[in-house]
Order: sequence, then C-alpha cells, then structure tokens
Amino acid sequence: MITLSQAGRLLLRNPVLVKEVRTRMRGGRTFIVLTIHLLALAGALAAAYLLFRASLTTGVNLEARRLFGKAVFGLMIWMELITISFIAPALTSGAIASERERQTLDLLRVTLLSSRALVLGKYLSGLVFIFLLVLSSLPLQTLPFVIGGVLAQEILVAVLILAVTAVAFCAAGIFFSSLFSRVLLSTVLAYAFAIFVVFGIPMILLLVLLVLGAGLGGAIDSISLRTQMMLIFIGWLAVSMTPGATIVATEVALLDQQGLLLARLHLGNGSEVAFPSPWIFYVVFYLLVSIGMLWFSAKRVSRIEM
Amino acid sequence: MEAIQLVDLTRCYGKRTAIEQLNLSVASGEVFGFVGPNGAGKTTTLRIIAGLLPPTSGEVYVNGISVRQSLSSARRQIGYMPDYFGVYPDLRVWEYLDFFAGCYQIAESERPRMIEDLLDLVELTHRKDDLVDRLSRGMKQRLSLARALIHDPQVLLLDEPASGLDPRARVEIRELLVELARMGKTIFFSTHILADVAEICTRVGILEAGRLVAEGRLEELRLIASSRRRIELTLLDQVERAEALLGALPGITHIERLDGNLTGQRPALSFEFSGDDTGLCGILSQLVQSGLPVLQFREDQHDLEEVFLRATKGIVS
Repeated sequence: MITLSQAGRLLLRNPVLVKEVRTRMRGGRTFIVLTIHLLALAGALAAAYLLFRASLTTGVNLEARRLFGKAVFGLMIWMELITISFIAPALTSGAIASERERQTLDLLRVTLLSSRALVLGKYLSGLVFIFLLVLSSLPLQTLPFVIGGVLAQEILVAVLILAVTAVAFCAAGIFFSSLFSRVLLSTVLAYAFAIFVVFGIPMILLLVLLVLGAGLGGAIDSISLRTQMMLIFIGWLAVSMTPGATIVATEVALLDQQGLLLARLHLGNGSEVAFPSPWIFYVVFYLLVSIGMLWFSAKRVSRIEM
Repeated sequence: MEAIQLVDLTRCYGKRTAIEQLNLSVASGEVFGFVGPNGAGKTTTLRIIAGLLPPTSGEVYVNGISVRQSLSSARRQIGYMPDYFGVYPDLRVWEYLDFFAGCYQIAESERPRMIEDLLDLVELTHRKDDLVDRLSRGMKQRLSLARALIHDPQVLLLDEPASGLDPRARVEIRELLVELARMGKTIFFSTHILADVAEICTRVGILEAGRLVAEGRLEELRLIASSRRRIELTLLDQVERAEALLGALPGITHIERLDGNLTGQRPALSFEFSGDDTGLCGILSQLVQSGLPVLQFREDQHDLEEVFLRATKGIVS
C-alpha cells in the first residue's frame, strides 16, 4: 500500500512534471501571465469599488457593505472561472499531441516511463500552474470576507468549485490531446468542452425553463407530484453540472439557512424535497469524470501505434 | 550469447507486408549494419526490436529477453536512436539528458556524473548549458546518441545515424560508433550510406522488400557477389613476359594490360582468377621465381555498392 508521502515523492520525481514546470517557469512568460491575471482582477475590483462609491446616496451602511461584499465576491469568482476556462485547455490540450508532432513521443515510449506517469506529469504541470493563478489571487478573493456579506463557507465552497473546475478542464485537455494527433483539433475540442460546461449547460437549462414555463403557464400545481419531482431533479442535476449555477445555488441555499449539505426545494403542494447541495454533486461528478478521462488517456497513450 | 535474435518476424500494415519471416541473430559485441533501399523495412524492424511496434507474428529477443513478454526488462537493455531528432527546444543540453535519465529511473545523485561522462564521450561538454535547439545537426545527433546511452544499455539500435549529416559530422558519428563498439556495446544500425558499413561493421544484412536477401561478414558477401577474384599486378618492366606466363597458368582468364604509360604509372596487368588463397600464393610465387620484377600484387576488392546491387533487385515492398 502506497502512503501519501510516498505518492508525493513519486509525483515530485516524475521527470515529465519536473521538465514541464522547469520549462514553463523559464523566461518571463509565466510571470507576465500571472501579472496580467492579477492586474485584471485588481482592476475589476477597483472599478467595482468606484461604481459602489458613486452609487451611494446615503453614505456607507452595513447593508450596503454587505451588498458590495457579495458583488465583489461574485465578480472575483466569475473572473477566476473565465480565466480557468481559457487557460486550462491552453495548458493541456497540446500536451500529448505536441509530443507526437515534435516526434518525441517515441523517445519517451522506449524509456521506462509509464504512460500513466507521462499523462500524470503533463496533467499536473498544467494544474499546478492554474493553482498558482488561483492561489496568487486568494488575497483578492477573500477581500469580500473582510468587507462583510460573505461567509467563510461560501468562499471555501467557491474555491473548491474553482479547483474542481480546473481539475476537470485540465483532464479534458489531456483527454482530447491523447485522442487526436493534431494539436489544433484537440485544442478546439478542449475549449468546446469548457465552454459547454460553463456556458452551454446554463443556456440549455434556461431554455428548458423558459419553454416549460411557457408551456405550463405558471400552473405548476396542475402537474402530478411525480412529474414535479422529476423536473426538479433534472433541474438540480443541470444546476449541479455547471460551476456558475452550482455556486449560485449553493449561495442561495446558504442564504435560505438550509446549510451546506442539503438543498431543499418546494413542491406545488407545499411539501419539500431535499437533494445533496449542488456543490457536492459537482465536486464528486467532475472528480470522477476527470479520473475517467485521465485513465482513458493513459490507456490511449500506451496503445499508440499498436 | 546472442544480443539480438529475430525469429520468423513478420509485420503487416493492412494487406502490405513490411517484413516477412525475418530470421536474424546478432552476437554480443558485434557491429551489425542493416542495409537496404528505402522502404525495405529497416525502420520497421528497428521499431519492433525497440518495442515500439508489435510484430504481426514472430519473436524478438534482446539478450535473451523476449520483447513481447518482458518489454520493460528488454527496454533496459536497449538504447534506441530514431532517424529523427526529437527536440525539446526549451531544454538545455544537460537538462535534456537529465530528463531522459529520470525517464530511465536513474537516481538523481548519479545523474550529474553520468551526464558529465556522456557529454565528454560525445564531445559536447562545452555546450552543456546551451539550449538544445541551438545545436548544429551533427551536435544534435551526438546528443541523441548520448541520450540513447543514458541508461548504459548493452544493445544500441540506431536508425540511419549518419543520415543528413555533413562529411565531418558523419566521420565524428562513425568514430563514436567505433568507440562504443570498443566499449563492448552491440550496435545494430540501419543505413543506406554503404561507406559507413564498410568502415565499421563486423557483419552486414541486406534487406529488400521485407526479406533478408544476404547476410554475413563483408568479405563473405564480396565472395558471394563474385565467384571470380580480380587481381592487379604492377611490375617495374617485362609486362609482355608476365602476360605470357599468366596466360599459361590454370584458372586465369581475362588478362588485360593496364597502360601505365598514359598516366605516368608503372606497367600493370589485371586478370581474373577462380581459385582460392593458396592458388593465389602459388601464382605470386611463380612470378617471382621467374625473375619478374613484381612491384605490387593485390586483389581488387569489390566495393559494397557492387555487393549491394548484386544482392538486391530494386524491389520495394
């Protein structure tokens, strides 16, 4: 049985991870990206503050501070989410395909490096960079906690969702990279996956809600409880599969004093139905999807040209 | 002990057969030249031995280890250099070797000394801190060879190691291979540069359309290529008397006078002889005993091109 410290040592000794991190940190590219990222967040924060100051008519009160805190929190999380959605595919979608294009994959395959170590090294190097971006911006993200209006739990859940999003998008990049020999194709598909998860699912959800709302004409009581349950479950599932909606839904549940673990929804007859909080499903689902994609990628790399 | 053994090796790509029933053994310490026209199946064979490509049928053994059954163990024995140079442009020369040392699970503490030794061997110590991308093609090829040696393999598989290099770089690579052979490595390399084969190989295999059409020591192949030996005789004078004497001896045909006067050289004769080495000694002995002033008596070696052309038919699979 491998211990955690042994696993850590193995990861740190992964030559692919060492090489990727070494070359990524070489030159000014990484520091430029990091600086631009922090400047963008800080700029948005400053703009939000100026807007807040300009909109105040009665001076700063507790409620206004809370509102400002929530607004800043939402802004920071969305900006991080957009950053992750754009950077994760860029970092990983060419990982395996570029080895093929550079004709270095065979050189690696004749060594004792396992396909699992190759995939994991490539994957972690991308993930480490994204975590560096998220970690470096933590002081800005936790500012709403100081301003007020945001609970520590909310920040923790949001950061966890961001981290899982990075885990999943990096895994998707590796997955498509192992699937296709052309970097361009794998990059396009990795971006398509990220855009679908962040924007596609909420749009589909919105569309379905609009159609259903128009169809029912507001008469939710007219449909059976069973159908209501099914619709609520589908809605919960869709919400739990997209990071933005998951954060909002978790926030709503917390504001409604429902706690962190359960989300209670009301049926037409006034009774309640409880589901695990969307963030739980989101984290579990995307971690499993990521593991699956990485496992498949390792299999795929080991079978290349067999 | 056989360093490489191919048993009934066959590889098909769809309906096309790239290698057909290839049987070959390379002894430990040999330098084996694998020659053949483009598309003959040389690279496919090397990739199968390296474990990069599974054979359709047949077996490959490296130092007695089956590549199919114990790929990992076999890979410890093999250093593979393909006919292209895989570049990581952002890596320095020492980092490139350090990375591959890591891939071969070589302990970090051992790597610096090992890298120093290898860079010394391939004469790249002075470029240790340069980015790989800034090296010349010849230097990249030498670095590639160092990479193939990083885990101290017993068997080296080199695919066209001198391809695309300028004459100086070719000579450098050739010298390196000779040095490696001196170190006891078994070298199995494919090439279409026949001069390299003639210079450094202990044995040669000629592949055509996926089949081994000739195999053996270079001298043996030369004999196979021509059953008659062509001898050149240079004299101080008395060329007419020598011509008459040779004409009377058994086994000698096609006597030709090489007119040395036109080129300012000594008079010479060439003739074909169908006998063995003892017979050849007898001829020389008779010439000398007859008082002929023999200046030079040598066999005209068939060059490898001739052997190659006679062995192959220009078929590409």
